[in-house]
Amino acid sequence: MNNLWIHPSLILICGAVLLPLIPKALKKAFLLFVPLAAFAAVLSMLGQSDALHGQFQFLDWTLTFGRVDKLALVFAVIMSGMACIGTLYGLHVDEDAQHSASWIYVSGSLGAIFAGDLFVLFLFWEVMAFSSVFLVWFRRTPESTRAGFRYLLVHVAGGLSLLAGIILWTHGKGPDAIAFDNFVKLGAAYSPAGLFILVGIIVNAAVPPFQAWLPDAYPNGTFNGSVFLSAFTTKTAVYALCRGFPGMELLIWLGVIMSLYGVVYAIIENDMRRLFAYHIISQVGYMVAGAGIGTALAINGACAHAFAHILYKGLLFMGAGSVLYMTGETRMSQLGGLYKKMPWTFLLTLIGGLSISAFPLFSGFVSKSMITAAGFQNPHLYWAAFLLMLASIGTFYCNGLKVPYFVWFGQDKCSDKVRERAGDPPWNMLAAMGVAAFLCIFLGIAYGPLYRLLPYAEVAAAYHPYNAPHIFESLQILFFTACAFFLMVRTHKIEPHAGINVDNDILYRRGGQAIQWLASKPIQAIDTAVGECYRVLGLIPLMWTTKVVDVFDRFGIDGVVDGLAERIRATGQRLRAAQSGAVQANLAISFAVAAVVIAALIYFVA
Amino acid sequence: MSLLGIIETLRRNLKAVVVASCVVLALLVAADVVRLMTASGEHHGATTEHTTAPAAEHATTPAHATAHSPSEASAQEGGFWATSYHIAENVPAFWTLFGFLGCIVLVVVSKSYGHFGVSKREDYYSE
Repeated sequence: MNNLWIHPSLILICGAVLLPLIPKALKKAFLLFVPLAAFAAVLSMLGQSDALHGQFQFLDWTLTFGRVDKLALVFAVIMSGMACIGTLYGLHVDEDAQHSASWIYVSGSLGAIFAGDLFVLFLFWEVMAFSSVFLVWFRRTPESTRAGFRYLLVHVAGGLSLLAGIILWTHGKGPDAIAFDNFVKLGAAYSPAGLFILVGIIVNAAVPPFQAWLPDAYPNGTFNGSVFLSAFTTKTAVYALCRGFPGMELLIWLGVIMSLYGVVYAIIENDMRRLFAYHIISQVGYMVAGAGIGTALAINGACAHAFAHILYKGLLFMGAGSVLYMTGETRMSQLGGLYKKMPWTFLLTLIGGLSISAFPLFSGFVSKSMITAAGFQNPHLYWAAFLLMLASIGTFYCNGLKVPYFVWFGQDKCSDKVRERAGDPPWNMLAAMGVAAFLCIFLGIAYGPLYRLLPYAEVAAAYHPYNAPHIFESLQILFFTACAFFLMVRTHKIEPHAGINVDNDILYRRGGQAIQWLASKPIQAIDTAVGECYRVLGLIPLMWTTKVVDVFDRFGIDGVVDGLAERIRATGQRLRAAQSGAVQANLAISFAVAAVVIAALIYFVA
Repeated sequence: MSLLGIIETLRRNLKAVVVASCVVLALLVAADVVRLMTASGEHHGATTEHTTAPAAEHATTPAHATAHSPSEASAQEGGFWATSYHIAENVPAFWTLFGFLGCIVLVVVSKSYGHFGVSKREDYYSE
């Protein structure tokens, strides 16, 4: 089997290219077939020993497109699986380009995960950025178009940082230097090259201060595009951190700050999709902290959490996407009381919310707890573990309580149009949500298969999430958070308000406007002033001087001598008037003159 | 019974649901206190003999890049009624208070953050 190794990205890219050519009758089957084929390709790699496939010689270097080991596989399984679910969710979308863009985006993600060297990593990093931006642009509102440009701006900058780091790192070193391995072990994590690469990765992971692009772009994606967006970019970056920077202490700080940052913004957020986007930042914070802690349990936790997160975050975005698709509205201040019309969407989104909150029997319970457990193993990291527990309070508050309550229950603030359009979405969207919800519960109960996928399987097997302290801890936190929530709702302390919250992207949003103002007012004024000076002090005297010289030349010099120049000029004027402009006349005269000249030449010379 | 029917039934009997929830919450706190009281006797015996085994296991894992080694045993020994694995667990209903107060603190802090200038009207960025 080792000889026949097909890169799953190749399957997806071929599918994306061929999709427009598929006849309409077979389109839906093809749409389901391609990601399933990629998923099957990934599954066929399971259970085999680590290997290197797809190696090509490029100049001095050997590029490795297929580095297969347990760390890569656990991410690849869930990525390709999510591609299937996401495609099912958007099955009824007619625009082929949306599906192609989604698949190329997934192929970029899988390619980065299987990349054995930094060049291939960078290639697929850019593929991800340039294909995912279309998932934002296809929404086709003016705001989405602008958000897509901002997204591209940030990601190109991040990619450049990654490239700079790669060049710095590989410059002057032998051909083996391009291998994508553990920078911490090589002692290079804090070197300039390492830091540039780290910045490139954490831009994709939405680590503050580079996080504002995520809640800006993801809510502006199409209803199905955002499901893809939520899964791939950030988790590929988490993989890259687990691979390249495990145990880097800075990441613990960044992870904890991230997880609380996302929660704080989500608590005051009105738009449900933007709230879920901030929670991506929060949950990825757990994964980044896990990568930073670096112990086997922590890395296992980061991988397991990424696995579960892709499923339940996809489910949450699918729920929000359903509300958007059916009603056109996502702001909680304009929703409410939808449970009558969309009960199944409510239940499935609630399952996602309970899952992200690490409710017992759901997937978050068996995955997130590994990271906090790894924190609690080390007394120096107690502060981190407690802060992560605090973040999980906010997580349940926003995802399990605030959104389900204010969208489906609470005060009905829907406009008539919204209430009219509301209803449970088409079968394929419900089916996709159902699959994701089923997996969220299945993984929570039968977590053995997931644990066997993890990179340090023996450590994972020794970890038992279902024990009394853990269950009691979770139930206490969750139920009493709910208690606090309902008390605050009853006393009207929390209510959705229409409004936005500015994030640090104000720097380049207002900053961009400021530079435009600077260009159009002060700089333009200076340019105009300089032009005016040039005209007044330069051109006018110049023209006056030439006029004087001309008059002097014509009447002064020429007039005094013999006026010949003036007479030639006058003759030329009259001849000019004689020209008709017709080509035939000019040709006739030319030939006539030429004939006379030739005749004269022959007569007098020969 | 349809999903909508279930939800409607729960809403109709909301008072009963709230009372039942309060009972569950009280039971949860009580159970945690009981668990800690019965487990505290076995706590010291269980931790000492298990410190060596996990430490040896963790030493062989290659990803261990930090200098700190786990100095406390994980909660894995002891099965379902495993003893607590760090100091906070020894306080009865610790996580209850953590959850309730943590939620209130988070909401207060976040709303203050919003009021101090981050929250703006919806068309703040429109030209």
